[in-house]
Amino acid sequence: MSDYPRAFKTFVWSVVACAAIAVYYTPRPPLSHGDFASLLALAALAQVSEALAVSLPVAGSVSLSYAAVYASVVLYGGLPAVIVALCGSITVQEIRQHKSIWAVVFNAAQMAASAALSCLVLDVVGVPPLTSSWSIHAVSGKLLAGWMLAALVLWFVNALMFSVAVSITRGLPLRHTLHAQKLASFLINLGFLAPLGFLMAVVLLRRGWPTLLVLAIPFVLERQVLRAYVRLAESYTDNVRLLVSAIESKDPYTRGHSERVAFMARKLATRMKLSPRQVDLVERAALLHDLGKIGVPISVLRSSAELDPEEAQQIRLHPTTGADLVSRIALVSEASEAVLSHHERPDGAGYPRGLRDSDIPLIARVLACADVFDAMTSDRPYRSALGTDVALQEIVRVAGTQLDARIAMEFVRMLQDEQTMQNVHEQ
Amino acid sequence: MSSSNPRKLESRVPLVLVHAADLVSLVLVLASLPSVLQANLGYVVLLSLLMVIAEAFLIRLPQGDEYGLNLFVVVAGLVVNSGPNVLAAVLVAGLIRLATATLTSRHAVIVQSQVWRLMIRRAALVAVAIPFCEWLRSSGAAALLLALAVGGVLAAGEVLILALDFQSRSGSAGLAYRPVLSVYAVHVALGAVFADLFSTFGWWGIAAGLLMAIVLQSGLTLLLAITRAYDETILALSRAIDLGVGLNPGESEKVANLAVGIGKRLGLDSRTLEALNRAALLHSIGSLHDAQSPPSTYDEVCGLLAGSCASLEGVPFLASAADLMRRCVLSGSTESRAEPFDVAARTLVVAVLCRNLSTRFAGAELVRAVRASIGPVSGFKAPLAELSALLGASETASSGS
Repeated sequence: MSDYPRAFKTFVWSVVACAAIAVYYTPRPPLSHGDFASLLALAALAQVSEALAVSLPVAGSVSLSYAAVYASVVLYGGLPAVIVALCGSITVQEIRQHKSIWAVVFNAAQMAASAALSCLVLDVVGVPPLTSSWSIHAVSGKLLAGWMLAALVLWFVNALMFSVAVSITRGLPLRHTLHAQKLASFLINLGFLAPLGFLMAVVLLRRGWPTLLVLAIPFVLERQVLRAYVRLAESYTDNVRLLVSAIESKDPYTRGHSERVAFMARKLATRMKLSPRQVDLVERAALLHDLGKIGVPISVLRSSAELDPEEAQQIRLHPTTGADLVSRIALVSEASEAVLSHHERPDGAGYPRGLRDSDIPLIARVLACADVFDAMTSDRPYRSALGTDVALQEIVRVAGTQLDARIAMEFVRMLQDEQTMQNVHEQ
Repeated sequence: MSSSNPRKLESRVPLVLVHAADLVSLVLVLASLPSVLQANLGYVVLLSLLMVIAEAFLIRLPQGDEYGLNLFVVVAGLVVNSGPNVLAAVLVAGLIRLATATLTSRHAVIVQSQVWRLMIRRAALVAVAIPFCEWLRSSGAAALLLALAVGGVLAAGEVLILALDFQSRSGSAGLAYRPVLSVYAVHVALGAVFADLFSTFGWWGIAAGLLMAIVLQSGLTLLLAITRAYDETILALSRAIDLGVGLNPGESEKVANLAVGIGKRLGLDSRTLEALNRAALLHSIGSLHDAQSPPSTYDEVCGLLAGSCASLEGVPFLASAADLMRRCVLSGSTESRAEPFDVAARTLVVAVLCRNLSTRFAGAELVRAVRASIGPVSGFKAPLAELSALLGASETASSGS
């Protein structure tokens, strides 16, 4: 409970104060008997949907609670919307898990503040709640603009407060955490959940809760499908890693090679600020880059003598074989080009196609650095492993001929930074 | 071409049912044609346009079958508009798809036949649903209830007919795949909601609802894509393993096809068949880099599968395949009490032995050789009988062709 820094606790108090002021000024619409049933339905929906939120790989987590809160904002405005927002701010699960009181208070306050500010915006621009006056024929540009602005405020205030909280607790710059609020999340909330919330409001106003219940069915089903997808998508790389290591484990000289290369290549790609999609692709290409070696006889792979031309040709075939195998997997078929080119060299002396400089795919150039480094620092039948410093010197030496000069130097700097950090920790 | 072969007859039964259903469908559609001629052209154009849009977002099943769904438009149309208009729109949308398929497909004849049959079946279902809908309406059912009931009947009918169709073509109940059923539920529920809200939003609401159904359907498309990626990965690795153990790439695939073929005839469920397929594809992983000749005795196969099982342990999505391999060392359960996974494990042993012995034997001799390799071990009667039937059927087919 006392794990949070003082700055976060101060921020929580500020959010609570901000929420209290917003709630104080927010309108208090009169509610009829029927409104209470609808309000209860929305509050229950906010609570249930928050508990059933699904984390998406590209968009943080998605739940219908945004839609439920927005429905209450446009339907009633004011205090009822704040109540629905509070219902969606904490789940029974979180209470059972004894979530920190600071986190609970922060969530409740920021949700209340977001809903109250959203209602205030509607009040200021003169858009009345749907319960007071609603007709599809009376929808004007002003009303539409007001509803859109309210949806934007509801999302933005929530995202801003969340980003500040993460920035304080993790010691990250605010622009980083704001940047992490992904476009996909914005589009899902504003492009899909806000219209859905509006629809819920109209359904409650015109048809009542049975229709709302039927409307909820597709989303409950969708959640099951989405959860299954997320589970499979997130574990795909891990599963491929385990499978590749199962294949490699048979040979002591290649055991763990692909996994180490994938680890380093991912770090290098992240350091080079490649897009998240490219970083994933680098990792997957690295995991599968030596798959073609499986077709090379073990006697050739373990040979400590110089290879004869026929054996060398067998080794040189492995990128083509590997690329052919990888191209059959639609999800990583883009990586096949990198697998095919990971032994190409900027000076054109590589194989199998003798490509030069930027003709070699970027992912293959990143992969080649990690591959060469791991090969040098691992035992081979014909020599013992080189030390890290010697390997780095060798990488500097071949930068521009065997390896892409800019990427090789970035790789060297990355490992030197890590060594420095390690030395600092040891001291 | 022996008609007394019970298996042959059994595999024909769904096909007979499908043809019968097609015939009944055609009769129903022809009988409904007079009412179609009285349809309102404007509404027919609008509804068929919405149907074409809905069907453009295809669902691609794991077995490779593709189909588009227009249930949302049909349900909403039947409730807020008239039956003849919807029936006419189904036929017009079907004809548009037929024309598109003819112009774009390289195998036009096959695709034309599939699209034509789907159109007739859907039209027949609508023809059946129209009087049902009228009866519910006359008995005073609310729009929401009316739409849910009609949608439920249409969804059940379409799932049944398409499942039969897939079963007869590929031997697998593609539509029994649970997430696909959820898409039908999404279409019915949204169709009911927007039909209920028709007095408020009108046709704009129907269009928005269709958009929502398409967006929700995309979740299933993602799930099916990632499932395919897993299967493709296993297939690619199985080819790599074949290379590693000195076999022709695709050899493990043949073992898997044989094992799944026997498993289907044994009536194994889809989950067990999936595990069997994966186990068969990766059955040689345990012998990687150990120069061994392919196992040709029961003990050798068990040894190979035990080694492969050890290699796969710890890979979460292959846990069921590893479990199946582990069960190859039989626990002594009698055939009648065997669990599906035990039956699948024995099927795998039979398939591996059969492929490895097929270089020396063929036909009935091959079955005898497999039986001799297994020796006195119990529990293999059913898989061997199905292997014999399968080889007999394929021999009959090849001699016939």
